[in-house]
Amino acid sequence: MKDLSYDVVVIGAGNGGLAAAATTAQKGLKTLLVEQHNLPGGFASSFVRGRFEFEPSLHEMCDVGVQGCLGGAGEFFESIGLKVEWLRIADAYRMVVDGESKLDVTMPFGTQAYIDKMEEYVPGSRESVTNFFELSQEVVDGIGYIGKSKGNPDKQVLMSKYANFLKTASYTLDQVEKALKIPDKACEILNAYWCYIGTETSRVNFTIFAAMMLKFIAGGAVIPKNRSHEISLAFESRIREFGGDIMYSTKVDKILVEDGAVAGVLTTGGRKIKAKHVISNAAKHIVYSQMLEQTSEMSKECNSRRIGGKGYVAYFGLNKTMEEIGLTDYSYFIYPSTDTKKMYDSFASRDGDPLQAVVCLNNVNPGCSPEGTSMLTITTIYTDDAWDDVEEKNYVKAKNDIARKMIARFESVMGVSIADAIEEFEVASPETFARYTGAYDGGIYGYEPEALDSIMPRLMMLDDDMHVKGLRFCGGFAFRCHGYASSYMSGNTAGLLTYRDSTEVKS
Amino acid sequence: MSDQLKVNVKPIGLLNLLAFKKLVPGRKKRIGKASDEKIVGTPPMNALAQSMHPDVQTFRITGISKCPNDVTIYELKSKHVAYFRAGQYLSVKLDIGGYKVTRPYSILSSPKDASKGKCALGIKADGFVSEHIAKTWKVNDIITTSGPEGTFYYDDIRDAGTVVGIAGGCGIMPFYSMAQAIMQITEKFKLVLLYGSRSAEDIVLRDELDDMAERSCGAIKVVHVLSEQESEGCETGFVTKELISKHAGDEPYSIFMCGPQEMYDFANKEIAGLGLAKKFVRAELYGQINNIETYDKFPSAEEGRKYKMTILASVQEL
Repeated sequence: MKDLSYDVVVIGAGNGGLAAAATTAQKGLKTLLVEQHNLPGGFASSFVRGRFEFEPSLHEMCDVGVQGCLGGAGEFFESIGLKVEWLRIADAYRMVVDGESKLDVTMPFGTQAYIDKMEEYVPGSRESVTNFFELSQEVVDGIGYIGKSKGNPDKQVLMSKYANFLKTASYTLDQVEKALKIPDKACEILNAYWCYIGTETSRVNFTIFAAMMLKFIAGGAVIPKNRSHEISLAFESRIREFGGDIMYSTKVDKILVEDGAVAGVLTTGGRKIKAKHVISNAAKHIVYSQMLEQTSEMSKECNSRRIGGKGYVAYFGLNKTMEEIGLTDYSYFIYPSTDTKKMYDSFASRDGDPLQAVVCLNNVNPGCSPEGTSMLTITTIYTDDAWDDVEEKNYVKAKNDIARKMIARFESVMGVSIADAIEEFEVASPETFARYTGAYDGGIYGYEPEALDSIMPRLMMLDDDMHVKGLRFCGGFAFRCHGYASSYMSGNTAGLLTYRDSTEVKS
Repeated sequence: MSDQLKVNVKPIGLLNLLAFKKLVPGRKKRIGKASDEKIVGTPPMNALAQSMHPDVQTFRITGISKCPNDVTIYELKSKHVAYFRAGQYLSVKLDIGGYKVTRPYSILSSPKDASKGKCALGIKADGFVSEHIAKTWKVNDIITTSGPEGTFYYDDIRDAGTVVGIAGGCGIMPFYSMAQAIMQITEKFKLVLLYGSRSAEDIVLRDELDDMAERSCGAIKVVHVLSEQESEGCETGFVTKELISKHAGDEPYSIFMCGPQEMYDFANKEIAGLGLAKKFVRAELYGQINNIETYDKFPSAEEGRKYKMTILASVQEL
């Protein structure tokens, strides 16, 4: 086996890795993307059971926008010529809270429509909620400005144009909502998307929540017609068309380091691939513990961070239509409470009644399953050691017990019946996510974006965090925090920064 | 963004601009205070994934027993056998004269056996790989397989409380695993097995199956269906809808099928007359379909046409 040589090796063909490889290949760097699985995409994939093709992970993607009014991710996709057929989602979400504080609201996309609807549900909320969105716009613009300045923003510009962005960057969502004097009821409705981040509102950083919220509500959300696998395949084609190489079923064993800088990688098959730059889609926890000599700086950085939620998704192929069942919306949040701390704490155990983020794919993509059928997926989150007592022998029971609870709860809250219509059933547990993507301990939510470890401090410390010269990170565990759009964008940024690194090395 | 708001938020007096400047020192301090204990490479969920779904399992053959009809049962042992769901299969990995091949064979042993490091496969010698196996595998040989695969198993979230199993020939293997799991109470459902063979002499694992049925307190019922022979205590002919209705019992049931394509073709026509919802009928993929060109939807223009396939060499082969 002869040694290979590339400008950049990208480890992992998840969303971040695909975006990074497409970016560096387009820039003309000789790029190799290495993926342990035999498919691209990581979580962005699809799988078939019986006559159903399921979406494994994507609920809705923000930041894509529409032709003529693209979001950040949309602009990036266009810049690399990515061909995906997008379907727009009508309403933002329906939120149903059962328990001591009952709530049933349906919130639209579009900032003005959202504010109007909120005023209907919570009279007197208009001004403060409007301020929330205005502030969120400044946050997004501020992040955009820092991005464009390539990490060297003009302090005067920042202070004058983005003062509120700077002011709020170190606070939690609760703190800012309180400062804006948003009524409690409106906060509860506004905070519905908290489960997409998975860190309770008393701890989650305002910046990251505000950016996500604005991108969803102002820009709307989309899904690809042929599951997220379609996006992954589109990236794969573009990478190859840009001259990049992809190795599937190949695992990187070690990142080779010479004089404190990246020198290449070694695959499990024993092949040495020379490269001065590595972009890892694999989390720092994986890279530092398996692929490099773990230094105390690396251990300390990892130990200072909290690994976010582990995924649990129950997939149902139903032999009835959504109409027959009586579900008209696409996205439902079924919460046992409006207290996000309480819900967050419940993630640490499999005992309680978990919150549910429910997606009815057919309500946006009617042709996604055969006539007379539909698909429904219910997602929840676990943390810490909630699954650690699960062994091979009680695994099926553990995953099915949760699914049974979810079905019963969903049926009772929504007043519908789905149990008798289940033709196909599958579960992706934290073990499943770990199995297919290598996700560290089944984590799908990266590192928790608390105020001190959110997008801004991570961005400002990119250089401090680079423990090996030439090694950058992308994906859900990287500096943009997790989520589909963020992962693609982090890959794009990591690719551009690597391109810059490479020109510096040459000159 | 589609609709930008024109409202200007007044500076939020309560929050301190200086706090922004504290973000980096704050994060640095937090990292500085963190433990320098090494992070583990394989945390619990990844460890569970590795033990449940190993890329490769290595077994020693500990026993070989010949059964009727060119079926051979291979008993296997390994230090760790991945736990599985009764009805799943292993893909055997072989190198035959330089050709790397894999073939799926249903596991006939029980999940409980797996936790004791034991496993068994029943293989009918009727193809390139299975005949090679029959000729070459000896006791004490080391073989490699995949982890457990497949979705041909019972799940009470989707299936009825009774499973009518229709098995043909070597298709008995997954049901044999399920029957043992029911006896060992690792599975809880009622199994009515309609097991088709040509003659009484052709029945694989007959004594073992009949014995389990007898000891199962009604949880397992085995009906032998002989196509070319009349024999006492056995049904004669094929598995018809009348036969299914006669033995299925009064409770709702799911039909699980495992056997050759000809059996599916016949059974599907019969099942169509039972008025069951599609969710109550499942079939395992079973080997290749012979005479594919005789099937309805086969595009006749393609018959006999040869294709040239170009394999784009991956960089792995450079």
